[in-house]
Amino acid sequence: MAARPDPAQRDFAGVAIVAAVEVPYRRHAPPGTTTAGLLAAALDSALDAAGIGTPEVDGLGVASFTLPPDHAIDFAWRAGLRVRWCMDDCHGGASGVNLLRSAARAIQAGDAEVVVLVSGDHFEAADFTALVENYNATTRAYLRPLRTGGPNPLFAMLTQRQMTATGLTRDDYAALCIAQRAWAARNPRAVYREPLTREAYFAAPLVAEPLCRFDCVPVVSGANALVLTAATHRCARGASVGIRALRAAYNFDHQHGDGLVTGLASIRDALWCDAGLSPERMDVVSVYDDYPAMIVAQLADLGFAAAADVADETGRLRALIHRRIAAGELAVNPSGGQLSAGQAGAAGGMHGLVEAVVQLRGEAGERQVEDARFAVVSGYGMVQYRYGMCANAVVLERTEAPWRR
Amino acid sequence: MASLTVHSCVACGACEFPPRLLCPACGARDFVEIDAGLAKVEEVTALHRRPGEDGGDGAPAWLATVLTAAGPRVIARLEHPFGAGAVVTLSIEADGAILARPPTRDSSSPPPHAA
Repeated sequence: MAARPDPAQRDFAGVAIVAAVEVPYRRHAPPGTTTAGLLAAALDSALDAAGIGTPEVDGLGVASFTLPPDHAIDFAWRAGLRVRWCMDDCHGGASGVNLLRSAARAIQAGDAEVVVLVSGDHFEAADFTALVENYNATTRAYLRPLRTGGPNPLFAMLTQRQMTATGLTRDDYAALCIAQRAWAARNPRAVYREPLTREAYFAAPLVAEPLCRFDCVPVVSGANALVLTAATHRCARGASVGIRALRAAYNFDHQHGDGLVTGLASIRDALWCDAGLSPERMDVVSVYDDYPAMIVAQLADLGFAAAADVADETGRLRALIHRRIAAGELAVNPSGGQLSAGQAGAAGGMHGLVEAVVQLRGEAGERQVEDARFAVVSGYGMVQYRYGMCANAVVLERTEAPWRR
Repeated sequence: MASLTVHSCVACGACEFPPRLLCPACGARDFVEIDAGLAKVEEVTALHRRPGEDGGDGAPAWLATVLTAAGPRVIARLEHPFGAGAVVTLSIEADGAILARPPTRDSSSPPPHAA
């Protein structure tokens, strides 16, 4: 990509993430469950964790596919929030990092001091079909008539392209699914926690070849929330989390490519430069795992597949998958990821962010990564026609003292 | 059923599918429709199951990524499970479904691009 002048303010100083929560995901939510109700539960739980009451909240961001006809401001009213900063975000798997950036800038600019970000969806079977068939105008016009049933066949073909380009096989994708399931066994909130074996993976029904059931995220109902404050706020005195760097690239190739490279490749160097860190320093990695092939693509784009002792690309990817991730040496999606914890619609875009913050705050219980100090989180998604349009990433840091640089 | 057309920018000739509002190459707003031409199958997937549907025991649907001679790639339903590399013609049905069929003898379109 051609380099552009970069007037962006790279510094996210003065902002602290003080709470990160997940409303338990459910494969089949009880009768009476609503999207607004799940978002309200996430809001309540996040404010409780931060030790803040609703009167102190002056900013709200919402990401949800199924909240309509309500929007963020309707939710704010229903939740009793009086706000001076309010936004809707419809970037699916990229919404968490997108919202995080906007909220951080609002706090830096003084437009808000205490911002809550909520994301989530409640799906009945019919809701999910309506969402995937009407995801955008292109999908409604050209994919719905093919009865693709959502993006699975698109990513099946992307996976085929990746297998051809890299030499990876279904065994390699199985190893990623098995590794995340092993993490999920230590996450009481993951929807699927029983260990996954190679035999069970290969015995699973095929969905869209070569993808089997374990390569596709289980659809769940649930919600996530984050609370951000000015670093001078009393809530930031405890174990808070700061933003070292954040970059985004949307429509970077205008869907003219093969989808094997995401927008992350175009922002990788700037991201690590802004952060003053490198992939080797990361204790926790959350990448948007709608499919195992996208885990591979994002990790490669972020610079995690650079084993110095391996000459060829296949070998470097296999070293990353088997020597580092499957061996538990590199914590990738330690919640179990969406592949094991479930995908609650737009909450999927905040799931990895919440897990990273939980890890950096030392709140991850049995799956806690020891002394986790740095994390990188990537968002990906919004399929236009053949693959996702959006990619973004944030580098986070544990800050014991108020976040001031 | 009509032959599939793609959208060519009047100003710069860039070819797009699905249609755009402004040309991603030059920003112009005027497009003409041109025939997608013969096309080459790149990847094929057998779709066995859709979320929220029972079954999966019936015949799968065959979906493909297809490279058109005009340039853009499209997602099409295959009439038969052609393999990668097969040359097909593309039509668009009244409901918007793009179908790939073997070329008829009178197909006069130029051959597809190399991959």
